[in-house]
Amino acid sequence: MNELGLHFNLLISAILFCIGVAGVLTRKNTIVIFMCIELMLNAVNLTLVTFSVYLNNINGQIFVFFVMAVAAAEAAVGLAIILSVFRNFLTVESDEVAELAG
Amino acid sequence: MFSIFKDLILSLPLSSSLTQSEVVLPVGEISNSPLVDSRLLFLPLIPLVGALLSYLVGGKPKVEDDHHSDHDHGSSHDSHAHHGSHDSYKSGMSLSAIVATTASSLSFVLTLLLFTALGSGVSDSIVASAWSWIDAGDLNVDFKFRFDHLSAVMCLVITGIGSLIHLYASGYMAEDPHQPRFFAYLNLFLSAMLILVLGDNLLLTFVGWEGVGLCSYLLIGFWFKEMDNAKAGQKAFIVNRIGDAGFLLGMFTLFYYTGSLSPSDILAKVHNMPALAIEVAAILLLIGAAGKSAQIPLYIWLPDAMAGPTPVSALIHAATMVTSGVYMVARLAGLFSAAPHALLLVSIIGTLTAFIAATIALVQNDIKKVLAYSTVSQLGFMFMAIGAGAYSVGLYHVVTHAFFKALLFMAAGSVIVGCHHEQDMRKFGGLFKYMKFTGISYIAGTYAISGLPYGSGFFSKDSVLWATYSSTGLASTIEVSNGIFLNQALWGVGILTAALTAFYMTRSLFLTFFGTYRGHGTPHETSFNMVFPLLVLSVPSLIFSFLYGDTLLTYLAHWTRSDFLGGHHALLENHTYHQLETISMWVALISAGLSGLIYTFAKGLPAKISSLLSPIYKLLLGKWYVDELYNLVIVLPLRGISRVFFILFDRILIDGLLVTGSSVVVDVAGTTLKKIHSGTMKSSLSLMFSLFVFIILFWVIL
Amino acid sequence: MNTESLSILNIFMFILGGLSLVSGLGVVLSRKSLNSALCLVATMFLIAGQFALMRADFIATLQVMLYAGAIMILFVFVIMLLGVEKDAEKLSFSVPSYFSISFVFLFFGILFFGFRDGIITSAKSIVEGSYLDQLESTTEPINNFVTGTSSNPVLVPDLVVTPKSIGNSILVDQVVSFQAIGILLLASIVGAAFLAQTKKAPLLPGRGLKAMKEKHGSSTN
Repeated sequence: MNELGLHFNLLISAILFCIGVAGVLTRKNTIVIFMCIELMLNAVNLTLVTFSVYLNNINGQIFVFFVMAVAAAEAAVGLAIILSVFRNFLTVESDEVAELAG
Repeated sequence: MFSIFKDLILSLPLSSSLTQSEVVLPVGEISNSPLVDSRLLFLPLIPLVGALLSYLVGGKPKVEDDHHSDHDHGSSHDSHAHHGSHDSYKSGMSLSAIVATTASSLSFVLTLLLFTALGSGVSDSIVASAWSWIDAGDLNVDFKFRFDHLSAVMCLVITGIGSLIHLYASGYMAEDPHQPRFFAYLNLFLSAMLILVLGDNLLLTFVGWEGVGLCSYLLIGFWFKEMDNAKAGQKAFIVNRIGDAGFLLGMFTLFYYTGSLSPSDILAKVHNMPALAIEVAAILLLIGAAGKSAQIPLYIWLPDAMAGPTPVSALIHAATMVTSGVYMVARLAGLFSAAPHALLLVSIIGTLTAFIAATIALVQNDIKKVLAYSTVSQLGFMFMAIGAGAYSVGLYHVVTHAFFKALLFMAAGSVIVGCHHEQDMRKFGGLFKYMKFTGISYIAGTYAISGLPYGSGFFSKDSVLWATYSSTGLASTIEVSNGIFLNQALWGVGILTAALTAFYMTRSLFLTFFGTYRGHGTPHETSFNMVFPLLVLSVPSLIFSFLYGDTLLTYLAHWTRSDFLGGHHALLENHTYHQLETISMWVALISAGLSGLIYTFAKGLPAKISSLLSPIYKLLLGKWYVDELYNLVIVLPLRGISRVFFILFDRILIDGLLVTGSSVVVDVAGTTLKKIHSGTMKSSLSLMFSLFVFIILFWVIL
Repeated sequence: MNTESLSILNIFMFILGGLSLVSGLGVVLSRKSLNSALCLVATMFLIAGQFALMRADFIATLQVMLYAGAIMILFVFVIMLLGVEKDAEKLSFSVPSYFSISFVFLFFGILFFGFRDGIITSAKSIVEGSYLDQLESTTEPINNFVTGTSSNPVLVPDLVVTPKSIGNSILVDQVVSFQAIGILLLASIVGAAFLAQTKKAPLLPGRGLKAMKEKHGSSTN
């Protein structure tokens, strides 16, 4: 790995993050929205690891470890919420759960 | 025909016997210390209180038949049909008339008292200060009145003739249900005019100036239910206002260069002002005077002002308001003497006004219009005198003109009322046997105005003409053609105008009072209230100048040119003057006689001449199409521009864009922003993300 | 292009990066949710590959085990449980979507242009003796790559990840965060378990399965 990897990885990470954001803002299916959130988290992980390698510091990778743990926790809870919502509304489409419409 | 005149003029010695040093134009300030007398404060106050009281008191005399009480005198051209025999030949005065006349008489009495105090006292002027009005930095204006020789003359004329006209109006308006308003306005006018004349400060004079303009508007449009009357009032006010703008700018210029608006201060500092500033200030002030005193180009309101009641015409447009321009110039005499170009302009405009108005008066058929144009013409004479630097001569003509013009207007009003509100002279004729007193008065007035020998108009007009002929201002340096200078050319036009004046006034006399009656019904003499002032005014119209002309000029010595101070007999010793006087006397006699002869024996001749010279006749009858010209050049473009602005700014911009647009914006914004509240997760996420991006953006940028 | 400094690892890096972009797009743009899930799994594998290329093997392994192995299984289970949609979702880009997408582009612009120099420069000053200190300018690698010059010799990062360093970090340097993560996981387990309970009574009146069935008819099941 040489110095080109730094820039390339950062670019990939930025693009993946933005793709994830686009997905979150666009899709209607709540589960797919969650998956795009995971995609964003992965992009951030890539950035962190890249910097950790190029700054010669292990703490970046430890941070990634923590991010993954949080992502796992969040996925568990989020999917549980989706299940609840499904039980009450019989749908996972976010447009139909517009109870707070004003 | 003109060659005769030319030879006459050429044969006269051109170099007058007066050298430069003898003709001294008055400059300098009002001299010695004034007397303080607070009775002066009551002088404008009495008519003001009178106005209020006469409005509140109101009422008509109880002798009237009630079923006529609701007939408004809707138009001054009322048809004769519905008035029958109930015209005002009863001498009951309504309560408001009594109050108003008493108020103006009281102010006349007070003027006499102050006049005698001035005559016997040690000082030139009486002052009285009411309060300190403006105290702002450099501008210190007091509400202060000054009664000096100039104001005294003007006040005597105003209050004296004013009181007579109030008496006259009580008869003229006896059938009008709106008398309280009328007399209130009349007294208000009197008060404003007195403030104008007595004001010791140009700003205070301007208050009176505007006040008389306002009252003129109110009184001209008194019978406002007729659209034409309202329009005439509006025209008077607007044209006056244009002049007022000039007056204000002149005041600003004077204040800028002298730091004061008081005539005494200004005249003391005139030497320090740059010459251009003096000229500019003078011309601006003269624009104001031209608006008030109906000179070219702002005279157009005066003939239309005949839509008002005749007492109004007599008071305002004969004796008082229109002379305020002359008064203002005389008050600032030192300033104008230092502005020779302005004086030249004044002479030219005065002469032109006099001539053009006289030509228009020649062909008018409405008796009031004849008198209106003759007023404009005589005002032109006054301005001729001013332009020659002889301010007191202008005032002399003011005084005599007040007498005979007020007389003529009142007599005309009497004729109109006596002929059941008919104003067209073609329907008059032979009225002398019906209305002897009115007839006598009208003859006296015509005699005076035509400048027939030894009437009051004779002396004053001759003084004006002599002042023009012998002026030493710029007019005497401009050569018109070989050997003739401008002032002599102006004299020539003045003589021609005098001839025309005599001609058309005699024409109106003969058409009205002699011959056979061409109208409907039976004319009758009018009430005592109306006839008495006529007879009273006939006397000074005939003999004032003979008795008191020289006294007046000496009284106004400060404003008089030195060659007039010796009196008429001293002037007569000047050979040139004697010749000119003889010429003017014969000119007046011949043209008056000619007019009398034509209109008695050769009644078809005028019609033949007018059809022969029909383009000229059309021009004169159409008043030189000045109104139409103004309409085309000023009014229509202004209307067009305002219409453009109306549509562009008012409709499109303000109504459309701003008013409707703002509501549309709110509506659209609301409808769009409503979608944020869709309640979906997506919208809240989008909002959150976009705000986050904004924050990052600002963080990066700043 | 300076192909001298391109090694095989770089080529792999490009391939893996490119493929991860493609699969990322696949996550967002697929019609069926199951396809999205599978694309996400692929993305995770590819990113794990990137980690491995950078010799961050610990994290690479964790990525595969945790993310691709556990979390995605969870997602697939939920998708299967809640039923695949009868009609594949039609991707409709309505007005709010245009609005949001523009902000996404804006954000990417900010990332690309705004942060490149700043963060790397500040990163240089924070960590001493790092590889980045040896760079003269932050865009030097790309300049070298594009223009084909190489003023510096090829530099390779030499971070070595050992269990010792990881253990040091977890249990000594960042022990607070580590314990907090533990508590967080406990909380999430409890929460998820509670939320996923089935209850006889509906949480809201008119919202239970029976009520919904009556509302929608029997078409959804």
